[in-house]
Amino acid sequence: MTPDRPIEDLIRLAGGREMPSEPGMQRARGAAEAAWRRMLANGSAAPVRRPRAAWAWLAAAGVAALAVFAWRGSVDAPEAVARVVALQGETRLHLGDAIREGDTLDAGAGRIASEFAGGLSLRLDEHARVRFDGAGHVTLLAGTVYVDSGGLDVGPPLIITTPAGEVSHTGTQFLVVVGEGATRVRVREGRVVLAPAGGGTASTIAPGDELEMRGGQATWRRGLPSYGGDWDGPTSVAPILDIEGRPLSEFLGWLARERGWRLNYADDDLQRRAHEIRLHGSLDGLDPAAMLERTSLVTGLTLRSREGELLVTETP
Amino acid sequence: MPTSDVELVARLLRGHPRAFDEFFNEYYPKLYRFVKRRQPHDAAAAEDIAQATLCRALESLPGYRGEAALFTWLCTLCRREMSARWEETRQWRAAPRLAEDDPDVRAALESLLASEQSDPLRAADREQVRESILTALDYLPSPYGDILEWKYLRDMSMGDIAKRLGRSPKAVESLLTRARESFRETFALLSGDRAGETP
Repeated sequence: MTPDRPIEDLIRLAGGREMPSEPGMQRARGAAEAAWRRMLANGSAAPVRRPRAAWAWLAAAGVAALAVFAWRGSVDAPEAVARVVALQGETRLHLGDAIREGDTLDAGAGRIASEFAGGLSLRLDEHARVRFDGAGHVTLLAGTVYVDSGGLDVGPPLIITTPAGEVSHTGTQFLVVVGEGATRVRVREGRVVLAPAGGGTASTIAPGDELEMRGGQATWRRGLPSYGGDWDGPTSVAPILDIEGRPLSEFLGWLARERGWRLNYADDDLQRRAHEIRLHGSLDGLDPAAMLERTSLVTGLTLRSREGELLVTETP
Repeated sequence: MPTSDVELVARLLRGHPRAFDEFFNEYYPKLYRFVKRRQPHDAAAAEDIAQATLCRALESLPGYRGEAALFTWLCTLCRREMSARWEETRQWRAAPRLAEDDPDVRAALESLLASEQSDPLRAADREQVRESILTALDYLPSPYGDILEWKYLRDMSMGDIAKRLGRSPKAVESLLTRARESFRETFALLSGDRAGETP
């Protein structure tokens, strides 16, 4: 064997280069990113922009946090790409906070709902960490996120980078989970595409399906419910619909979509009435069961959710 | 220092998130393999040392003056990290000496990272050849090693590689040519006379 042997043969002879384990990669990425942030916060030799406020690594305290860089002046200031629209649990974030390119959101022990221009909703479950790379691009560093683009074929594009590859959608609701050495994508509505990080054929995930990638191996699960289980955490931080003056049908449609339920009326007449009934007041601070109970009291209709169905009937 | 190193460090210092991804994805696996070649039976320790090296490097990044290639600088930090760990566990004497640790080969590799030039040398036996190939791939300027693996191991098309790198297929063809040439030189260096003299 000589150095003149065809390079193709030599590289095939050696096989692929050994890679660290997936958990090791994730640990190292988290530690290295924290070190990098510390370096930036402590004042680097950055020629253009320099953080003037200490970067707070609040996740260690289990507090939802936004990695904030306050740039000197407006020179090269990163653009706001999304904003905080709902929060759960202890947090130092505020509703309306701008999320800028390069910021990392850490949900800590709480939950965070963010909204992009165009209305796409990205929600972080407890302990999820997401870096906002740009207007249509985030990196899921750990944990579970839920995306709702607002409906089929609507909403702005979003690419989620994960250890397994890039996840993109065509107008949909879906979950992405990164943790324990695997990346999982589960779809409630629409279609989601996972393009593998190492190249190769992309996978399309349909409603009710889940694709898990672990060490390059794909595992499919089919026929999964669109409600309960993994969906409950990240969807529970939805911004509450302002019901003042809105028809009952709109509230029921919103709640059913948020929870992954099918909305059924006992008959056509009830459906027509639901369009005519106008709601007043606020549902802030209520969980879905309490929302239904209160709405039922004021409308005189029975609103019952069971096994993925929201059923509207006359009260006997 | 290659231009890409200068740009990457500048972007890291500006806090650009994509730069962090590029830096981590490029150098963590390389550092892991750098340690693993010297500590072949302890993957966990290799991961720990590579992680500690990256953290130290990122915290020290403002002090990086660009006198050596980024990977050379990282390897220097990694050697210090290994030395400290192995002193603690008394494993230093058991660590193998590798061709790339030979001062002459190291100097040549570092020169190659900066100028991509070296002298052709003869090959060693099968396992050494395999080791030399894998080491050479890690020492190639980015993204040559990846391109060669994608093309010859994963059979990716030029179009797919171009898409992945965000470049045109023509630019990728040119990159592949340079990657082959760079690999040929590095491999020759690692499998040649100087490597054979390493104890």
